[in-house]
Amino acid sequence: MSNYTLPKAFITTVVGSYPKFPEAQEAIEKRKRGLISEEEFRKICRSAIRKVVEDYITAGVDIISDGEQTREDMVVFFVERMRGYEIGDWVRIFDNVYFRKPIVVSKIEYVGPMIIEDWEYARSVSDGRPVKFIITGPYTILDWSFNLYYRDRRELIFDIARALRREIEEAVKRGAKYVQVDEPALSTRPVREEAELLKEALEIMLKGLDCKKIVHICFGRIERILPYILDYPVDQFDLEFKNSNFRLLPYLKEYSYNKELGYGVVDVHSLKVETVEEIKDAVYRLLKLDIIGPEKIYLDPDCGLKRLPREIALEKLKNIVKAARELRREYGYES
Amino acid sequence: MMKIFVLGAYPRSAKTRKAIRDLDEGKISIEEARLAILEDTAYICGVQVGAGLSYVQDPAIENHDIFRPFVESWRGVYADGLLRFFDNNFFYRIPVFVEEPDVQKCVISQRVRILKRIVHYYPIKISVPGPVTFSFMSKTELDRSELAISISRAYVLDSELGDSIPDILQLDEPFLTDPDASPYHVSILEECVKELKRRFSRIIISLYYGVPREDVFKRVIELPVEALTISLVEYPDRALSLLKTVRPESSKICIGVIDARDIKVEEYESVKKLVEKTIECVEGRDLYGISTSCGFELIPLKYAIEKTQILGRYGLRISEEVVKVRG
Ligand SMILES: [Zn+2]
Repeated sequence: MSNYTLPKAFITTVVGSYPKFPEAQEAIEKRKRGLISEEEFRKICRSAIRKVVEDYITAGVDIISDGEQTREDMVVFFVERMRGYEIGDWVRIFDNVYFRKPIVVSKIEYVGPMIIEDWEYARSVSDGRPVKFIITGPYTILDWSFNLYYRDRRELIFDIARALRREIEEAVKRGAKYVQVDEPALSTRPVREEAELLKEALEIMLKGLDCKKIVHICFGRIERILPYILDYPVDQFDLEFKNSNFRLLPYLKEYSYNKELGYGVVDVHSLKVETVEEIKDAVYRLLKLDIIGPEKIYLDPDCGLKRLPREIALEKLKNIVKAARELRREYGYES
Repeated sequence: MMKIFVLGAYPRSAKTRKAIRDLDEGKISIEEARLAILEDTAYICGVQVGAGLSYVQDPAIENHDIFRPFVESWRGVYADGLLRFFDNNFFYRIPVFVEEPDVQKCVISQRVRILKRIVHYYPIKISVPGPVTFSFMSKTELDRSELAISISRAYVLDSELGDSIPDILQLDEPFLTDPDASPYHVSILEECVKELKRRFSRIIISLYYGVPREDVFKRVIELPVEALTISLVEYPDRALSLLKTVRPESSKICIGVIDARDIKVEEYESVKKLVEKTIECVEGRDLYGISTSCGFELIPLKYAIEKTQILGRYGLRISEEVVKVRG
């Protein structure tokens, strides 16, 4: 099926989300108000997903995503589609802005496909480029909801992991080669206990699956947990570097990092488009540490691009791709 | 007598959320929005009194975050972009200090005056951002230790200009539970406390969200304040072992035993056990008090109310069953 050949080194990719296209935003609102069915909702969002994929192809990104166009929020989307959750009361995010924080009220169970349809659709229009299967991780889902049912938080996170595993198994069965678990909440509590809890959950979730396994963590004090995550059952960590001015780099050396690395080289919180030179410099800095070679380095943004204007997101991706091409030539992977 | 109190702000009611939204959109006047805030404030004060708490904590309904009322009332500082507030899925606006703060409007004394009108017969506790947390969580080119001291002076000036003093001034210093906080930061706080003591005779220092480093904690307990609060909710084992190692004077320690960031209601026995273990660790006869783990602003109001009542109920029982038996 895949007629796209990945480069041998400096593969370019994305973390997941892309600026929402208006039709997707509108569909999310309508679905929330009960004006359209889940089926209609998905159908409307397809045109948004196709536009995302077109942008990725225009930029030249190797491993792409569906742009998370159907997801209003990275936790609420999933809990609304699993058994065991209730949409809770309003809780503040900032200023006078609130969200309805979900509550676990019964045993967490998998109901049926949540993001598979979006992923499959993206794949059908991707011109053979691999589409990453990107799912919010159990720690983040645990942390961003209340629990009134489980006595033990460990049991809760393991049940979430079991439910998510069902979704991933289905995706792998349908041909997913790259599975990414997003865990932004982990870096907000960068302590050993929490990192080890997630490790157990990831083992439940990913063990024995035949695919490339990736965990994405961003912002916060990642260096504090780095020593405790290195033995996670994954092939690749996808981490934010640019926003924190590559503070994490010396720690990779210190802890002898040797997995593949999704290397965040553009800041998703800044409107300034990083130049090709800046991106290449970031890669030189990583290579100079002499811990992993070009084949293990994947270039991507720090995090999802959803908060950027589309034109800027696209420009940033284009420069990542240009930098990767030049680097491949410099290091003899392409002529 | 063991003290029982809430550590920080309360969430807004639906009515107040809407009023503030309407105010922002120019649909209602500031007086109308203030009325909604005042209603919440009066209701929450009543709940605290009814629960038998030792102090009435300022519900701080108008706060968008702990820094904002001061940032908006002082010259020399403004609120900028959003930044995650410790380990919460909640974001504060980073204060940017371009010069030393200059008090334009009173916050502390204004709050005291309003609360005194609601519960004039009750001790009032106002919590403010600890000067170290305020200074180190802001953006500035100024020297941070000097900034912390000038923040303390601004609090003093606020209280003098407005001619009102809270019965208790609580300094919120969650920054001191961060692994990056060191004895150096406590030495700054020490200077700040000196400044504050000129005006505020009863001060509580509140450490929450995490467990401070041993070297930090050792220095904080030496500060000349009435009490120190530490949360036993997030990492109970670590907090207890810290207490065991450092052995602070127990009558100065208040422990956070009701999780103010979670809606699940604690069982009495587990709270009682935490108190017993603490007393064992510090080898003291009694404690200064028990409290919530932090403020209630990150859970819905109905749960905050329920937990306030539970804190009061459990506190009274513990006073009788644990503290009295030992004392
Ligand atoms: Zn991220």
